[in-house]
Amino acid sequence: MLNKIYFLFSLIIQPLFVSASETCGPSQIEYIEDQKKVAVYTELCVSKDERGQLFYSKNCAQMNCSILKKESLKFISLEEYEPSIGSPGFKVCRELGGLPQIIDYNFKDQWHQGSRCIFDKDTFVSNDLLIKLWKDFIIGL
Amino acid sequence: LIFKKISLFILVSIFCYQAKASLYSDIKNLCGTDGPSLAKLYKKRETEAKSGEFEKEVADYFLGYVKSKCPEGLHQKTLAEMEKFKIQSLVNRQKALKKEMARVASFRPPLKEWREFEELSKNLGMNANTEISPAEIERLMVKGRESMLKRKESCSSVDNRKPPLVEMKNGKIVRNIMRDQDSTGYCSAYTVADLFSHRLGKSISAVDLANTYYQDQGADSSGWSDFAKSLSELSSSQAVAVIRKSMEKGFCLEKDLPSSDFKFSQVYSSYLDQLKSLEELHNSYQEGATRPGLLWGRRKKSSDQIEEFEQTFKEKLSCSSQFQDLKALFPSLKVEQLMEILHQSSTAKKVLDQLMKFGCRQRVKVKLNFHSSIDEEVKLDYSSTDPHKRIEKMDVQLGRGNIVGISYNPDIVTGSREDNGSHASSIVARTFNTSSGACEYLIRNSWGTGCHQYQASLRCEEGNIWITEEKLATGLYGVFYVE
Repeated sequence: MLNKIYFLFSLIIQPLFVSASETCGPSQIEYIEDQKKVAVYTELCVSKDERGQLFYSKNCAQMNCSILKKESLKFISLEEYEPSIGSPGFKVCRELGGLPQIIDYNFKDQWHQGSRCIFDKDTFVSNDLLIKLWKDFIIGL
Repeated sequence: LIFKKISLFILVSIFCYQAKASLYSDIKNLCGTDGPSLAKLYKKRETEAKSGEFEKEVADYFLGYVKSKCPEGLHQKTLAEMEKFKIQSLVNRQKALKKEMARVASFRPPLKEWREFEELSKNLGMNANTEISPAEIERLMVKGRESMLKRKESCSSVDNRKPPLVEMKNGKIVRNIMRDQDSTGYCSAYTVADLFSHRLGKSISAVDLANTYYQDQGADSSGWSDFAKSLSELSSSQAVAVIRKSMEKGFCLEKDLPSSDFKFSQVYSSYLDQLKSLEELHNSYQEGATRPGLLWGRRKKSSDQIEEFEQTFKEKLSCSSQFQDLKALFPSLKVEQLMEILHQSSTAKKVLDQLMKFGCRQRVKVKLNFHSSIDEEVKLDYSSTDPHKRIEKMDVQLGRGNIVGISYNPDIVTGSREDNGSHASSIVARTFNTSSGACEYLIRNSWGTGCHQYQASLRCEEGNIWITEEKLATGLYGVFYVE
């Protein structure tokens, strides 16, 4: 019985996707606010898949932050955005209660362009990763 | 006998329809708070079965959710229905492939489709050669081979990307500089901005172009909701109006009016919402500067009263977050100037018109090297219903080193079947893919650098997507370009 409970519990808390090629380290993030370029320094993690590079905050390493866990998965309806054909990542981020932001980030001496979804002061996830994980739960995409 | 058969068919159809309808409402009503969403996903699976694109893995995922959220009996019913959808989808896919082979043969040999057709027929217990005769297959392959060889000659590799669309080092592209249009719907403004940025070598503000379109519409404050709607639907059919107006008054640079200021995300859900807040500001000013009329409407207060009101209004405004937010859009704006504008403007639209002058004082005038009028310089082609003709026009422009704006159905890149209307992007490169035998075009979209939002079968490079000519032809509505 205890074994069964442990098994069910481990299923619930298991991360959605764990990447083998994950690298974490210091980074510089730049964005525009009030027409001025703002630079922040933070730790982030990147992982690569067949479609490119995904990034997220250090506390989401090994997909261990709450937003990336299976229990967070819920249906997202983008129908109210119709007929506006905007960027899907921004819509998904807002529906998940995050704040979308377009950024440039420097990691391992290389600059990359991207957009992230900020959930709290320590937690952010690239919009592309959100789309990857939530694709099957999106209605209206 | 025929009458009996028809009656039986009708009865069975009605029964099936009712069974599906009741399953849909059962899922909707009996699966807790997720019921309505699950019911919509059930409909999505049904649509996929009809178009022959039902995927077992996706259905399994959906069934897993039904199992955890719905009563046991309902899960069993849904499971049985998914099995029916699977068979229905195979049959429909087989029919679709037959048509697709004939269509694709105008571009290349339909080899890939024929292999899938054979596999599918096998799974359905049929002989592919009895469904399509070997002679017909041979005819399609020969036709496809001829089309491919002809196309191979004309589909030379061109890549017209250059700064500021990309970053280059020693003549090579090292990074794509992508745009991200947020949740706003003015994709055409982003496409037009790219067309002119490419031509001028300077990044043009997309948000300014969207506003230019609005100003050209002449809507008054009472038409604000219409404006919001038209701006979110700003499609390539309106691109010409945007281009004409912008060429007259000059383009604003992205550095002077950034389209992706984080302030927009923090305060509003989009740039459009921020503009809408102007209406509230205008209304509160008007309310304070006027008093109710004796019988109806409102009358202006006396000049002393207005002066007193404006003093208080100005003090409140200067410390308000609303004014700080407006400064994100119009950085050179001072509270005195805003007060002057509010004082002079009778409608919210006039407030915006005046503010735009502050937003971008130095505009780049375009001097293009040809002699015809603006109408002829900027072309939009919706007249031809033949996508081949549009693709030919695209090829001519690509050959001249230009990039080309396209209006198209975004479902061809996302794989969605939601009929998402019209979207605009630009075509920036072309190549012949020897492994597929297809001419391919590179779409530069305005949805950032992510690739997971596109169909997995499409090659994606930092948000740019390669699409085959034959796929593009199924959803291409129009092309526009600057000669």
